[in-house]
Amino acid sequence: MYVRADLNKCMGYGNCVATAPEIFRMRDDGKVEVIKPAVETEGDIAMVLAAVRSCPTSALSTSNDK
Amino acid sequence: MSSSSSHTEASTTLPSKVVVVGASVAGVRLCQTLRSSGFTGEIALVGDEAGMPYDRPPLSKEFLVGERSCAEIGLAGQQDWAGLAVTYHACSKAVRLDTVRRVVECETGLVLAYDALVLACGSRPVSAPWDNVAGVTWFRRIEDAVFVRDQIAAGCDVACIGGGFIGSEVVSIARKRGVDATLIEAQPRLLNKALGPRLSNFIRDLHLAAGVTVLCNTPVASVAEEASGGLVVSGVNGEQIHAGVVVSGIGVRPSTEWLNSSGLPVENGVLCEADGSVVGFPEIHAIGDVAALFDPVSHQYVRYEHWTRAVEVASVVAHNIVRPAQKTAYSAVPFFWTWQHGHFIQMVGKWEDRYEEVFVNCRTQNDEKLIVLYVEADAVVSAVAVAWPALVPWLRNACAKRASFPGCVDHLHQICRQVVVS
Repeated sequence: MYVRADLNKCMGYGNCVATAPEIFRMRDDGKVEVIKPAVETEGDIAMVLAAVRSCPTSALSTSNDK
Repeated sequence: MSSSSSHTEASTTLPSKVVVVGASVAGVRLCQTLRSSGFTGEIALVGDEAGMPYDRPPLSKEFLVGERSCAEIGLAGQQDWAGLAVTYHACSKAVRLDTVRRVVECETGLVLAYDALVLACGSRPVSAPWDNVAGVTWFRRIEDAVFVRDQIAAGCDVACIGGGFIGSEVVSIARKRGVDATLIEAQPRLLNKALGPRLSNFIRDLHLAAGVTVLCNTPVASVAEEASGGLVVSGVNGEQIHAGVVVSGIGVRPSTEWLNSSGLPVENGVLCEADGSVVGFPEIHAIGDVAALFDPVSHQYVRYEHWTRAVEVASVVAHNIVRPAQKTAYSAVPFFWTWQHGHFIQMVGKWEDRYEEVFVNCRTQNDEKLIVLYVEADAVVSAVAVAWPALVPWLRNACAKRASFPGCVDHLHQICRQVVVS
């Protein structure tokens, strides 16, 4: 599974960073950076899905293709 | 925390039918997490509003200013709904819960049987004597926001009764849209339950700089329609505030009236264990504004009206319903945000009177930033970042582990060109 962030939507709430710190990082400009876009293990997938649901601006999405 | 062997036994059986009362962010996120955790049984979602479930925080922000439409604040897209296989009952106000027969009854006559029940029914605004005056509105539902947005668009001046987050955000948008705005607060300062006095004054100054009239120490006596068509708000000390539309935002109460005959433990919210299950009712969980979760640290039942907590507890409860043998408890530092006159204000933790309130003005490469640290016994327990989201992940960690105050200031020295603590 792949996760991507729409930086036009991201407002820097940081919920994804709190939920999945190994997948997301906050950049200095207050926007998210996906540091690990390809997620494979069941644990990582569950964490990413929780992060997607925790985004107040729906800036995160997942897909099966890159 | 209460539990018994029979409860444990009952709660390790996987339910086949989950009923969720409340089409809130908590309710919808719970449905989504149930499905992504592999739950294949029936899910029924009951909401008392007409349309598809939507997100509330934007109502007093992007929606009110006109930057996001109704469609853009939906909690799930049409495709998402199709994939979720949730039976959504709109316009269905739950009016009675029978925990023996395990059914929820709605005003419409709809009766839903459950194996597992999740209460996500939220909160409702505190009522006031002026609620029924034409032109006065609460600010909770999408139709309230549409009404205020349209009144502002028509050039109506705005008065907000209550200097909490709703009132502060509404006047902030009103000024952005160019109408006059007055904020009326009964207490000596704005946001008095959420923020310390210095930060509260900082926000008052943002309002004043933006041209908002701020009236503290001003309990409202009445609101009346004027012959000219507008409204007049009268303060107990003789103040008269004229406005075209009045928002009454004096707090919310958990929506528990319908549970009065249910036997559920209700005080300020439905009392729950730290895992979200209702005390004494392992097959029932509560999430969102209506849930008062047991906090093992303070040994109290605590209730927050925070979006992030609603989402996080929904996730924990969905997990606990699907994997009853591996229940987890919820614990996280509170987190919320507000927008005031274009300033993005994020708070980690909560404010208590006993905390010391420290302002840290930071000069970074590009601009000036304000961080507010709330300190107890030399430990940072809560913090606020003004227009500095990049720092918030670090603040969340610092507050979670009660980092030392000097250590936090040292860190800020390292990342900033100049730091002034006051």
